[in-house]
Amino acid sequence: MGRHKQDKQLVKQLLKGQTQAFNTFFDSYHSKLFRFILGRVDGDHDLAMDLAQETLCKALDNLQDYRAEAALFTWMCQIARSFIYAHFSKQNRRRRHVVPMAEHPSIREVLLNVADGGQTQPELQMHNQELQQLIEEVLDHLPNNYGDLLTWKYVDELSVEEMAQKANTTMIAIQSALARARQSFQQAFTALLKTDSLDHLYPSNWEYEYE
Amino acid sequence: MNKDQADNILKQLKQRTMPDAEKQQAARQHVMAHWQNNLKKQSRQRYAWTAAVAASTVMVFALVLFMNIDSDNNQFSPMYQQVDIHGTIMFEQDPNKPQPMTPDTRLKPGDVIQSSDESYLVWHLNDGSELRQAPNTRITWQNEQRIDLLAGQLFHNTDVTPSAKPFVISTNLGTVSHVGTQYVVNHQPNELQVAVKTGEVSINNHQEKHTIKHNELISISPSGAEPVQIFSSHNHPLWSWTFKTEQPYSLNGQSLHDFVVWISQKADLTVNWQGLKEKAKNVSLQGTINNMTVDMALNTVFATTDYHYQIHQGRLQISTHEK
Repeated sequence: MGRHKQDKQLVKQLLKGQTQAFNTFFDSYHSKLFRFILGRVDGDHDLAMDLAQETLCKALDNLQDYRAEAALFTWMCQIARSFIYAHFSKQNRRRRHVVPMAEHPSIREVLLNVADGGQTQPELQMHNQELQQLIEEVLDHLPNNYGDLLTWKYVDELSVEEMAQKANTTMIAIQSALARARQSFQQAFTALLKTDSLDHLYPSNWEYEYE
Repeated sequence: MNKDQADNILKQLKQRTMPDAEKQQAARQHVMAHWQNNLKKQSRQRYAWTAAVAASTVMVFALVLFMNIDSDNNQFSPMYQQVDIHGTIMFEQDPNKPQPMTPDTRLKPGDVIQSSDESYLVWHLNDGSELRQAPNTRITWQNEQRIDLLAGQLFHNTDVTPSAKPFVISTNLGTVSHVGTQYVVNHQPNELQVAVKTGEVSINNHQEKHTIKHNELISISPSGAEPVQIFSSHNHPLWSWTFKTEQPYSLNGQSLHDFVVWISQKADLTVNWQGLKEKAKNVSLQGTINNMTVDMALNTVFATTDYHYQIHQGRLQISTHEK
């Protein structure tokens, strides 16, 4: 499969006005965008909803400009960033989002602690929400819906059989995809611990594979 | 970070953060409405763009077509308005391939037009004047105001329009240009003759410039110009053909008086009625004057009446048998 081929196909269908494509588009990206924005607007749900909606509208207005050089979600995140920036510029407020979180020494400490299976120190509890957002953002940026797969596994605690049924595929394919999803998450977090910014975590040249 | 460490981090994820379901549904409707409006707008823009492209294409096509038509017309209309062809006329675009010419033939500058022993043409020029090409005459159009007379005779009548533009007839012995007049140019091997019926014509034979006027004739040869002569247009060979190439003149309903007035103007004669003017108005005529010289026309008409005529020193004298 070529790079972002599924995204290109979805965009093509959207440009043709196919309602099914719109539903796929909205279901795939609205929640992800909401979470992406939420982590950057200090947890303001209403604002995140408004900006997610504006981002989707703007993306739909400019679909013909999408060149599939990056994943569609990455492209929309860029639009979302500009809306967030414009919002705070308009409000004349300082940006209050978690982009620099990975740089924060305490967060880095939490991550390392968690990774090593240690108990979260009481003084680090305050960072739990940020940690949650960070993990979610990494999941949302994983290719091939690996984020959904890992959510089913670790949050919803579905069995392999249930996941196969939900994804309309075989158990073997799900097990294989799950292994690749874990590996993908591991690589993303390894990169997170080495970088100063989340922006570098989601390379545009990630190969997307589909079962 | 190893696999186990990644697993430990994932286990920290308690629940995915989701937007409020009701608000998400409202957002879906809003975004969908926006998308559909945008699709319609883009569709209209595409339609408008397609229509604009189609219109532009049609316009370009029409323009090209028009230019082609105009280009074709450039071979025709700029040089003359119309041509009347009498008899068989040949034209040559390729010197070895003469073709019959019709009024619809689109001539190009440089084409040679040749009349035969019994054929002639009347060119109606763009300025409204008239150029008659005599039998056995060979010409080439250069542009709307210049013609090359290769051999034969041309009669240019600018009196039919007061706004005639300067027109040049070019021969290898000189060029002839007019200042509002009726004149004949006769070009034969080693001889150029120009006879003026009215107005004034100038001839430039490369060495000298000559100006001749009413009833004057000049002959130019390679050795130079001969003295200007006085000529009588009604029966001079240079002029006789011009009358023959006049439009047919219907005598039906005309009187002898009408005919005499008409032919005296055409032949540049002064009428001496000798008291018969009023009587001549009561003489009715029938028939048509066509392809005749002045003398032939006078003979033909007067033969059907009790009147006589005589031409002496440019005067047409009318008389009766009784007298």
